[in-house]
Parts: sequence; C-alpha cells; structure tokens
Amino acid sequence: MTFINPWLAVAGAAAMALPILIHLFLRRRQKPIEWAAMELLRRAVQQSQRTRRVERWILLVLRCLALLLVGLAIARPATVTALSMNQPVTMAVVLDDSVASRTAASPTSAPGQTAFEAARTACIESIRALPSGSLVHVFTTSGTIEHTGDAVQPDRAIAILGTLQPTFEPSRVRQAVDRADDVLGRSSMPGRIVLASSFSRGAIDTEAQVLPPTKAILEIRDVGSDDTGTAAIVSVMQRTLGPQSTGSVTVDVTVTRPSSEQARRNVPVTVTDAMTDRSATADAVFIEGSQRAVATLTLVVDPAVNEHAWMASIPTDRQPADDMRATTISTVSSHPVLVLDRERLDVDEGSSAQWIERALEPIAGMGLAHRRMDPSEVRAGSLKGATSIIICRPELLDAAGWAECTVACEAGALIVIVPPTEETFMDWQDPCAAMLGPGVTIRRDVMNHEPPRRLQPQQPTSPITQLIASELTELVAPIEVDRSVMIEGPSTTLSPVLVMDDGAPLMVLSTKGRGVIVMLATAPVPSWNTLATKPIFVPLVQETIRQGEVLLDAGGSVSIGLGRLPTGTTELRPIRGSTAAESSLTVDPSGVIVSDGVKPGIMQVVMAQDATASMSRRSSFVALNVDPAACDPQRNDAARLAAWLNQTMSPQTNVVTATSSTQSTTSVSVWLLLAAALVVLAETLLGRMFSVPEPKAA
Amino acid sequence: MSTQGLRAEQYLSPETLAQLAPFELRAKMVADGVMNGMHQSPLQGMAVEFAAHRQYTAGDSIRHLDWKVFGRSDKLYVKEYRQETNLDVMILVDGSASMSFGTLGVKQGWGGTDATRQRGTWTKFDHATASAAALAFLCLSQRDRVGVAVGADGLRGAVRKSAARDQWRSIVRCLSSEPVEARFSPAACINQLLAQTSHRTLFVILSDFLGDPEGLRTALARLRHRGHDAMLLAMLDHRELTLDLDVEAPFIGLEGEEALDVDTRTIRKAYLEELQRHLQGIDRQARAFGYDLQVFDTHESVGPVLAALLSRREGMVAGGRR
Repeated sequence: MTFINPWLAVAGAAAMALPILIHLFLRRRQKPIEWAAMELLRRAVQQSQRTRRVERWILLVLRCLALLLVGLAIARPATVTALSMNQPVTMAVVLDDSVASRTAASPTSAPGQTAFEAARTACIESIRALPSGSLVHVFTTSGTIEHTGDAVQPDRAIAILGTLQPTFEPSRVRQAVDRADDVLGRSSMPGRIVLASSFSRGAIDTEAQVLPPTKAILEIRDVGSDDTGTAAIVSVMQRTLGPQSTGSVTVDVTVTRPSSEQARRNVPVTVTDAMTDRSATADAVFIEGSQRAVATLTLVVDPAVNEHAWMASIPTDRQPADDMRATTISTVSSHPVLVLDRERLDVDEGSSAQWIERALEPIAGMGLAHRRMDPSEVRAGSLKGATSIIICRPELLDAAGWAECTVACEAGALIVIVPPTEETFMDWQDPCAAMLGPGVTIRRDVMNHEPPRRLQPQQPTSPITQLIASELTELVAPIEVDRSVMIEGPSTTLSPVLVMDDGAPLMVLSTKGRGVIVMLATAPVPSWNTLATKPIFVPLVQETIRQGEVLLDAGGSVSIGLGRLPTGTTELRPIRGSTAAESSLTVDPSGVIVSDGVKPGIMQVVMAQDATASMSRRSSFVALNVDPAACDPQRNDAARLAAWLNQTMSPQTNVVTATSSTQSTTSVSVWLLLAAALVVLAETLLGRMFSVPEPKAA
Repeated sequence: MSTQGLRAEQYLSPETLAQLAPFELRAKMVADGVMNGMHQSPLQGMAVEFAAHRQYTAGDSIRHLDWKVFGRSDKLYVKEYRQETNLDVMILVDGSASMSFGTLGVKQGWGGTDATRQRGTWTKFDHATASAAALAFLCLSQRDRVGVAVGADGLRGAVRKSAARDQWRSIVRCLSSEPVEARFSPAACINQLLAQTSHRTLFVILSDFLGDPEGLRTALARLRHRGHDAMLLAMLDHRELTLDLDVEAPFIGLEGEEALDVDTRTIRKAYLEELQRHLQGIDRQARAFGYDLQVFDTHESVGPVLAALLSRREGMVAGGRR
C-alpha cells in the first residue's frame, strides 16, 4: 500500500499520539492530594476503578483510531491493484515523449537518466508484468506517433518503445489519455492505461489540463524530475532597431532559474549569429531571491546585411531541453516610413504630418527615413513594400484607400492612425474602427476638454513604450490634452498604450493579420494638445515605429507545436539547429508543420510564389523554439498534483501513483472516512454509556 | 453591615467562627447565638419543685402526705415533686491526624487551632473544638457539670467534670493546646475516661469516625455497660461528603496510609456508596446501644450540633423524671 499524500498519513499517525500525550500531560500535572478517608477511597477504588480504567482505555483507543483514520483518509491510500494477475488485459501505454521528458529524471533514478528514459523503463516494467495473452497499445503525449488502432503483443510494444525518442513538442496528456481510453473502450478485454511521465510543470499543467475520467484503470508512473541547478532562456530581444551606425547590435537575453536553494547564481549565455558564426558570451547574474536575470551581449554585424538570426544558448546547463532559444532580428529598416498627407505650406502651427516627420528625423542621419504620399492616391499596389504607414489625414482616404491599408496591415505592416485636425463631414471613423478590430467604435464628435486633461502618472505596460517605461511618468507629466476623440473597444482587441487621467485611452494598440495598428486619440498639433512640443514626442514616435515593427509577425519566432508559420510558407530549410544534418520540413497551407522530427533552430523560409508577391515585408528566416513553459523541469507542487489527480478521478477510475501499481484511492478514502465517523459515533455512545451519573452526596 | 442586623445563625457559620480569634469569644458567640436564635428553649420552665398529687397507696412514705388536702377532703394524697437533675457531660474530641483535614479556606490572621494555622483551612478539628467549647459553655451556663478530653491513640489532655466558675477556662485551654496527630482509638480513650467517671454521664464524642468501626463498638459497649448515655457527632468535611473533585492524582493519607492513584470521576459513585455504608454501619452500632449519630458538614453552621445536644439533654432530663 502507498499513499498519494504520504506526509498526511504520517501526520495522521502523529495525531494519534495527541490524545495519549494530553492524557499523560494532564496526569503528570496533578499534585498529590491529602485525604482523610483513605480507607473508604481504597474500597471505592477496588470496587470501580478497574472497570472504569478499562472503559477509559477503550475510549482513548477509539479517539486515537478516529484521528488515525481521518489522517489515512486524507493521505489517500492506494492499495495494490485488484486486477487479477492471471486475467489478460489490453494495456495502453502513454509515454511522455514531450520536450519536458528531455529533462533529467528524479535524483533517485539512475545517474544521467532523462525523464524520458525513466518513463520508458517504467512502461516496459508494466508491460513485462502483464499476464500472457495481453495486448498493448502505445501512445505518446506529444502525439507525434500516429496510432494505428491495432494492439500489439507485449514484446512488439517493448520494441516500439525502444525506438522512440523524446521530441521538442509540448505535452498533450489529455488528448493522449482520451485516445487511449477510446481505444480500450473498444476492446473486449479489461482495459488498463499506464501513464508514465515526470509530472513536472512542463509535462503537466495542473491549471490548464484536466485529465478526463477514464473507464479503464489508470496507472500513473511518476518518475520525477530534477530541477536543481537548471536555468532556461525565455527571450532574446534586440535593444535597438533601425540603421546600425555603430556596426554592432546589443541583445538582451532573459534567463530564469527555479526558486530552489541549489539554483545557480551565474549562468553563462552564448549568442551566435547563424549566418556568420560570430558569437559572444556573457553571464546572466541573478541577484539574491530573484528568479529572472538578463545577460546583455553586443555582437558585431555587417551593416549591409538587413536581417540576422541569433541563437542564444546556455552551454553548461544540466537540462538540455530549455537552454536554447533562437530569434530573427532585422537590423536595418530598408523601407522608409510612409506618411499619408497632402503637401501643405500655409499652416501656421504645422500639420500632424509635419510634427511627426520632424520627430522621425530629429538629427540628420540618425532618424528614420520617410516619404510623403497623398491619401487620395492610395490605390491597389501603391503601398507594396511599405512596412510602416502613418495615416495623418484619414478623412482623405476613400474606400479603396482603406481597403489597401487593410491589406497592407494584414500582410504585415505597421499602421499608425492620427485623427484629422480639421472639421470634416467625411466618414473616417467607421472604416478606421473596422480596421482596429471587431467591437471598436470611434465617436464622431471631437471632445473639447476644459480644463485640459492630463495623463495618468502610472501608464499601462505596453510593448510600444517598454524602452522608455522607466521615464514615462516624468515624460507624460507635462502633457495637456485639449481635444481628443473617444476610442472604445473590448480589451481583447485594444490594448492601451497611453491613458488620460479619466481612464480614456490616448493611444491604443491593435493587431490585424500579421500587422500592427497604433492609433492616437488626439492629433499631435498645438491646438489639440501639448504633446508635439514636449520631450516625450520624439521618443514616442520613434519607439512606435521601431517597437511596432518588432511586433510584426514576419517570420520571427515560432514555438514548436504551438505557433503557426506565416501564410504561404511551404517549406522550412534548416540553417542551424540543435542537431546538424536536418532535412527540410513541410508546412501545410494553414501554417502547421506536418513533418516529423521538428527541432529548434533557425530555418530558412520557402514561400509560395503568390504569397511572396502579396507580402509587404519578407522574412528570410524563422526561429523554431521550444516553449519555455513546456519544458519547465520544476516539480509540480505535491498538493496541487494530488488535487489534480482527484479532479480527474471518477469512482470507476483506478489511479496508481509513484512507482508501484496501486488501486483507486477514492473509494478507500471514503470508506476510511466512513469508518472514522463510525468510530467517533461509537466513542460518543460509549462515552455516554460509561459516564458516571452525578451521585448524591452521602 | 451593622452588628444589630446580624442574625443568630450567622454567628454559627464556620466562616464567622474562623474570624473570631479568641477561643472564648468564639464559644460565647456560638452559645449566645443558639440561645437567641431558639424561639423556645428546652430549658424553659425547668427546676420547678411541685409536680402533681397522687392518691396514697399502701407502701408510700407518709412523709409526702399532703395533710392540708386530707384536712379539707378527708382523703389521702401524696405530693409528688419534680426531681432536680444535675447533668454530667463529658466531651471527647478526636485529636487524630485525620481531623486535620479541611477544605474550607480561611484567611491569614483568622483564629483557630494549630491545625488551622498549619493548613490555612477550617479543619474538622477546628469544627469539633469550636462545637465542644460551645457545648461546654452552654452546659456551664446551666450549672451542669462538664468535662472535656482530647484523645487520639489515648487521652492526651483532659479536664475533669466540674461546674466551677473557672472550669470554662480550663476547658478552653485544653482544647486549644492539643496537637492533632496519630490515630483515634475510641476504646482506649473511653476506657481511660470511664476509669475516672462514677456518676451517670452523657458522653459527647466528636470525631470523623473514619477509623475501625469495631473499636468504636467496643467503646460504646463499655459505656452502655456502665449505664452512661452517649452522643456521636461525626465531623466530616464537605469534600469528604461529596468528593466534588475532578482530578486524577495520587491521594495520600493523613495517618500514614499508603498513597493511592485515584481518578475521582471514575470512583465518585462507589466512594459515596462506601461512605454511606460506613456511616450507616456506625449509626446502626450506635442505635444498638440506644445512642444517636449525627453527621455534620464542617462547611456548615455549628448550630445543629448544639441543638442536638440540647434536645438530647431534655430527653435525659425527662427520662430522669420517669
């Protein structure tokens, strides 16, 4: 017999001693009492105390027993499976071959053994213990093995297991167990599912995944994982975007570590350019108590090359699954920013376009290139190649112009929209709202604020303002807004970048297709606000363009098993990966990789011809990464895992835990609780029966 | 509270008595309390000479013929006189170690015996001596002859019976000076007292009677054999009578008995049954010899003790007339 919560069983056993200790403690505390009528006392003791002592011992034993039973019930005991050892069964082996299984197994297992190897050994043990005549199905949690539906002989199943290797896919336990239960439901023999996994956080997300109640007996083989001294890369981000005058790029690599005491303090990180093999190494230094640190690396780049692919890795990590992350970075913005406005020369205060153009190019040679285009001239194909489009006169865009902007956005462009500064009868609000997303509305009337609105000191976190976040409170303080338009929409569609003191958004962010849309609720001219004349304006405009382009889904990074590739991708050719000599991967029209053996690394994107023509911004590479959450080697909290198991159990489900085959805990626990209740009842009745009625004085 | 508002019974409560430091004062307060508190004294109307006339029968002494009646009616009548009684009372107080038991708390500075001062409680010996002193005071105030003795395994101190004026002082001195120790042997004490007693006497024995009932039976048999009257006043502490304790602890005897581990909750019923049986046994013994047993709770007033004595005395006086 074993327990799902063995500590609670120990606690129950310890609690059993409580009544005894209380009994002894109370007994020890009594001082001797002088008494005159000793002879009468002696006779009374002879007459009744022996009987009463037996009665009290019975009550004490019952109290101890009640506590023990409650402790055992909470500990969820599991008995050895009641399956007849001689009766053939159909067993479905669900082996965890996800990326989480690449982590080291429990420290108690064989040295150097991965969780996958330990789980496979456990499955083989279960298969070998099967009675003759039994059949076996083999499933994997990554779902990469297509199950044929035919059961095989145990020897064949063991051979199949021997050929399996851990993948880089996330764990899909629920789907695997579901499929196994379905298959066993069609079998004429009793069914039994063996689920072998490390049950680490990566393998089992106890909050997101719910194991369905199975009809077959479910054995859980927990092989454990070792998360001591590990670290994982969660992101690689370039600090600056645009023309690289210095010929070098600074990259921030964010590394996490577990919260255990054995966690490492310094984690060396290496970043390698996939194209040139140039690399740099720096340490991510964790401060006391922190689980996250950033390593900053500077790499020399060729200014002539527009796009780079980086691979960050931890060379000395114990866990091989989560120590590499690849990313693609554009180092040069080859396409100028397109500003949609008419050329105007007679405006005293300057138009929105003029203020924005000044902000894009504050110092000659260091800014962002831009060119002006009349909104009325926007026609099909006229926006091709533009990565950033700033619409300063939305009222001048006709339906064809809006349609073209929408296409450009969906194809992967950054659209920045500014409300018109002059009164107009043209309907620009509705097409603009439609572009921002479903449920978004823009009020037709312009709101005049008297007194002027200010911005909240604490602005929301946004990718657009992430690099100026530390100074944002100071920068927004002097801004006064006299006029603005009201933008409303669901939080799932619009995320605020800047908000005014009444909570109304001043700047919002939305995505459409592979593009990004940023809209200002106020025009950057002095008659509307003081925004354009304050220090925030230049960094805000430049960061909007730079960070907006970073957000564009143009190739970039894709999580294995989770992300979808850009539309039109047909093939991925390996450039550099976790292992050499990779073959090309085939991608279906929906952007899902259909080939087996997907591994992390930098892949060259091969696109269909028509897709290439429609793309505004083409990317040469895509970085395939493992999902950091899917390979988290940290142990699931025992109580949470137990609760997760309880949640998945039905009265017919037999759950087996640890390394031994055991049977349902639910029914045993219920019976134990029932027994405890009966014991308490018996104790109460006996106590009442034994209690001495208050006698009358002599 | 003014003293005028005090009722007589309040003088008889142990709490009040314990606060009266001088022994004499305590006894006097008790006696006065009893006398004032009783509506009809059993002594009222006593000691009148003439009782009744009776027709002369042959054999009657002619000394008591009432010649005046004969002169008027020519019939012979004999005058009968009420006999003047003079009661002898001997008070025997148990001074054994078990009498030092008491649970009623007294405060520092209160009066009492050595036992009180040592234990800080109103002991059975305190109650017995207070009662004995009050009894003696009452008897002396009625010009009865009274003596007192404190005994344990033998007589320790005794004051011979007398109705003299300084008898009271002697009695008080005796009661307040004797220690409480050893075991009580009623037979030994009675033997010693009988050796000094010639007249018919009322023996008042104040004890907890927790010792061997056989020894008591022997003592009572001796008293009966000599034609004496006796009253047994059992002084028991309230806790002894109720065992109102909820403890599991070792109990040790005051007279050197072996210690006993007792859970009072488990044996209370049996103990009280045993106590009942024990007291009933002593009562049976006493009644077999024509004597009475009165049980007193030392947490309660000593008034009933005195009332019992007075009732008994009246009975003896009436018996003497018959």
